Amino acid sequence: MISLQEENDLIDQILGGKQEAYARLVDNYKSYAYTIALKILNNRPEAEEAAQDGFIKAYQYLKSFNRKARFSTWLYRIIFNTAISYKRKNRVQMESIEHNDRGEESRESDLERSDKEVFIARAMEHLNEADRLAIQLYYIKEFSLDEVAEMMGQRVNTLKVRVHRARQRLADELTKILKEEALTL
Amino acid sequence: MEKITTFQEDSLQDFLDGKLEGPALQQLKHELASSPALQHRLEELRRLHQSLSKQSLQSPSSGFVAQVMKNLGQVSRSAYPSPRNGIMLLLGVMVATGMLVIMISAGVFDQIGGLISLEQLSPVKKYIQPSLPSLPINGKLIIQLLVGINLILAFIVLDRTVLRPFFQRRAGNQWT
Repeated sequence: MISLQEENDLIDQILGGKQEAYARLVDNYKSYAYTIALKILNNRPEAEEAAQDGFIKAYQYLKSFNRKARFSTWLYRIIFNTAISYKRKNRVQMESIEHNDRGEESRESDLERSDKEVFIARAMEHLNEADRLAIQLYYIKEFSLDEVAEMMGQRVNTLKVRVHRARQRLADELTKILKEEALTL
Repeated sequence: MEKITTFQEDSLQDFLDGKLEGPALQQLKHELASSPALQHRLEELRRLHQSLSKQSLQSPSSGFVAQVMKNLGQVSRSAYPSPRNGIMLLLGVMVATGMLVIMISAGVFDQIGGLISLEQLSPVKKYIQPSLPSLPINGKLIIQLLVGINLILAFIVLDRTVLRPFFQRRAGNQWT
């Protein structure tokens, strides 16, 4: 990770016309950006495209970045919005395809994941989209409630309620799933 | 089984997030000690919390940074006219400037000059009654000004269509 000072220096260099300095910022935040996009889109190639697109937008709007805020939070919000717009754009097109392919894809990925992860993924399906996103983003490494709220454009209290409600529902669903699994054994 | 209140549920979650302190924490500890249902719920939430916390960051493909930088180069390039169009435009501006310079040195504009009487302009005369001054006109000076503007325009075209794309492409190639 790069320090705040280093990050500010890089931004100065980029704004001064040194485009190649942006590569360091991209490299530093690529995993976070990609993970956010992946949580929203649930599709690796699409998440990669959305994350790349988000980085391009961030570069184009870098002049408008207010240094009082953290660059990471500002960037994640752009990535979040880009991924959401990808999701909206592709929803209609993807619905029919997803219906056919998703079963196969999730069966394949189920084999790679541990039982616990599979059960959580199944429990997640019972949450509404906003709650699911809230809890998934909250549990991305090192993200605070404030950061996730800023990213999603929500109040901290609203987000806290979402996270609590999602966790409550997940715990209930998980208990149900585990009981069903125990009965099938 | 005893019912867990919404307040207790929230307290358990705050406790897991490390946000519960002071009297609220003591209160929860006290309730936990006397309520097996609350203990059971805490265990369920703790298991979930631990599983979710273990989720790791996902890594994009190895060529991610290079791809972003390549796309960035393309976006920057498309913001300017193509080098071919730019060079044509530049040539046009230079030819026009050259012709003007030749005409100035040949003295074509030396005879253009004189005074423009503002009073003779009918729309002005209609609305303004007091006498107006006359403006001196120097054709050569106007053309020289046009040459200057043309040279500035030529420099902007050269910068936007040739120099910037060239240096950006060079910088972009370092990441491809």
